[in-house]
Amino acid sequence: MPTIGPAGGNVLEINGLSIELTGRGKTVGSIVHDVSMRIGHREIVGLIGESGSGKTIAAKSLIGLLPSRIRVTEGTAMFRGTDLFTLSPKAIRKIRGKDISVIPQDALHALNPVHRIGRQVGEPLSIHTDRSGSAIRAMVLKYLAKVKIDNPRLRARQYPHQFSGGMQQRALTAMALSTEPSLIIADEPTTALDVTIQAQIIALLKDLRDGSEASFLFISHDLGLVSTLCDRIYVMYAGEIVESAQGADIFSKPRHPYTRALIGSVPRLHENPDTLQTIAGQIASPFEHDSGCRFRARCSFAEERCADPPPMRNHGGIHVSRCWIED
Amino acid sequence: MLLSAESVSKTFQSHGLLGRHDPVKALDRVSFDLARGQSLGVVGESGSGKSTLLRTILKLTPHDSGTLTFDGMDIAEMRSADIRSYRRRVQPVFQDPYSTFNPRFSVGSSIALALKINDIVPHSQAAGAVSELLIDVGLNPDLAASLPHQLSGGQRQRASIARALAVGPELLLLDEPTSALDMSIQAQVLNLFKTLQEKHNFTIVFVTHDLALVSFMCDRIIVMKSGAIVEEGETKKVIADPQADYTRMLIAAVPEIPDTTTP
Amino acid sequence: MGRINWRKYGLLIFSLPVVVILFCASAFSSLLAPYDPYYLDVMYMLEGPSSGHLFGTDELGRDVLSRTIYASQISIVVGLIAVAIGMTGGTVIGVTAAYFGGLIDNLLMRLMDILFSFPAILLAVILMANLGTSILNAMLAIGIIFIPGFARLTRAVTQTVQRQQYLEAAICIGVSGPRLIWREILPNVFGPVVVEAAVAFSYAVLLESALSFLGLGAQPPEPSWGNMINTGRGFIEQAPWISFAPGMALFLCVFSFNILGDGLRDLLDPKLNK
Repeated sequence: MPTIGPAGGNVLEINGLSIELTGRGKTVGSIVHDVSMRIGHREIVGLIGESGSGKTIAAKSLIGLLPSRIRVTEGTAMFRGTDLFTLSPKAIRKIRGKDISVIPQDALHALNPVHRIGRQVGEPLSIHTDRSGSAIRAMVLKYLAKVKIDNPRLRARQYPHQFSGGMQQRALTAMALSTEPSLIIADEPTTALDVTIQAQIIALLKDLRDGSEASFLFISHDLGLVSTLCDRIYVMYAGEIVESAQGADIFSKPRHPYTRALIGSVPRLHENPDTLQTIAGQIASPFEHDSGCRFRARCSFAEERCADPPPMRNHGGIHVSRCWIED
Repeated sequence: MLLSAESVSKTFQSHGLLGRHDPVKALDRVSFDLARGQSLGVVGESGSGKSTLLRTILKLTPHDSGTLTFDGMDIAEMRSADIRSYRRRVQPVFQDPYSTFNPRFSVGSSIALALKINDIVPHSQAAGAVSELLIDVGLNPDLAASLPHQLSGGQRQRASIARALAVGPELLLLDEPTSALDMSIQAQVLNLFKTLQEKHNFTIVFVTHDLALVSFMCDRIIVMKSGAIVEEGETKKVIADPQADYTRMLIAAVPEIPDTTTP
Repeated sequence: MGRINWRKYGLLIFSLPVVVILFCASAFSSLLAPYDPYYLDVMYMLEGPSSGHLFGTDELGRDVLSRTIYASQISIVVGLIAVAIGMTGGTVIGVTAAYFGGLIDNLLMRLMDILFSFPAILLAVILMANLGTSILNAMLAIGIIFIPGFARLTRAVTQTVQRQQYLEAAICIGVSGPRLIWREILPNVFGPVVVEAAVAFSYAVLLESALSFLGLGAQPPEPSWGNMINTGRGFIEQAPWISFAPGMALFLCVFSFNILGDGLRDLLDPKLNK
């Protein structure tokens, strides 16, 4: 069903999100800082980052799954007219799995080995709607077919171990789609899969986007995947968005030194450089950040002014990067 | 040829609750030759047998039939004295940086063990040798005293390379050594492999599911599926002009990153 | 108080003092006990708790508190030796079974299954009946009872270690045989074994008390918690304190060692999961 969102059609608008690690009531570390993102109607938005970028924590904060001692300290997340961060746990539970659903990373462990697939895929529906058992069963079959699982009637009665890795991931996707959510968060959904299966899942996600009303937030560390799939991309480093642009622009015209270095570090199938581009040093821990650019210790272009908080520079259209260097 | 495989096969019997399941052919008449100083990429998806191949070369799993020859010796026929020397000449680097070191000992101690077991240096010089090895792999020698869990994934992987180098091997067997690492760290480790190979003239077998890595690292490539080799040849040629359908499928499945146009 | 990490050390903080007190009681009984445990004070038989006798006297005029304190010696010593026997025997069997696998594994573990299938008390009684009733035999019998538990534990841990890459890496650099077991397997077996040992200790104390309750352990006039509780049974209405002190002591001992075991687990395991 089409969402009743703010005019402009953004399904989700995050503004100035900061998430911190607290100890004894005060802040001990900064995990996410000043993140602003939007996801439009029927868009696939990519969120790229390496370990420590804060991408998973940021996503988890939207559905109230932050671990203890990690809290949202600033910012809003407007979803269908409400700020997700002001909702009570009870209210979040109503949204989670229904209006915002998740395709988790590790299919094998996300499925309960002792329950049949059909029952698991139907679980969000039985929790969030009061449809009858037979109505739910019919929807389960419909969505299993939609994710291109052959012979849904037979498959629904099988157990997870009887499914291949790729099929398990499809089943999880069906589960996420079944409640017809406005937003689907896919957290590294293809990491555990073979390359050929991964390609199939990506193709499936593209088809689903075209054939449904849902928007996708696709979180990944895999540049290649994100470039194939996503309309717009945000790049995160050490808890901050360092660059965002149309999908193709991030790769053809990267502006931020981190983005450039990251793109340069990935080996390409048809190229034969002698060495790959590397980034010196290591990512700082959440306890070590100050107000300046968080990348400057590793940046080959760093200057003195980088010790001050860098502005978001606009490079034409929606392309912005958080950097002092005019380049 | 430093390493040769001639029709190597291996079948696993799996035992289910009610009797045996169908046997799994992990290796199906695998044959290849690897000259000294060359690097060979072994590419395949899960179940292709690529990891099993490494394990048979390492003598961690015996093969059922066929011959594996290292420097003229049949590795299945080796006596214990030969095996000891074989283990010095052939070293692995595994995928998982988390379990590759015994969590109870410092990484320096584990590296030193490699030196001691093989009498590489006298006891008094072990610490110095460990420091040198750590520097060779780009690590701060002070990290020798660290426990594995105190290091990052990339640091642990470098330390495990240092351990492999400690015994002075000729052949390095790399089993998805960078799969568990972030992209930027992966780049560092891959560059390190290239540098080390140039410096020591290693022969390398690089097992991975990632064709792009093979393109970067390896002169030659074999593509495996269900235990058998479906295609082999010079990496550049195979990737530019694949002959087997499966190879074509693998290549098509690799998501291509668009090229950067700005300097 | 605020700085202590209760989650990690809480159980240890509670149990350790009690354990220390128990060990001190057994080591320094002569210093701590107000009276000689064998001294018969005929004037004060079956006297209730008073300022002179904190926990009263028994049917022969002996101070219950002093006897309870001396009795701790037997419990502690039997506990330590029995656990040592079980730990050593069990570790050898378990690690060997897992290391060699196949037929040896099968044989050893089926043997352990046989031992395991007896209820502990029954097995102890059978062993004592055959070996003769003495404290030494009690230690041996209880130790044997513990072997299967430790064997199963160490076998499982060894199998886990065998699946770890660092074991294969060690094999590849040339470590083999005894050195492999000593350096790679045993240190990882140590943690779980220590935790199990603490809990086994409390069970050993309980078993020893049960045996001497049945008359199979320490023989009178030697005091042991078990035989004191047994004697106290006959006087439960007139002089319930005779059973009370040893019963309390037994309870405290078993409880605190169990908590100690839990506390050790909290201390040792998270390090491995780092």
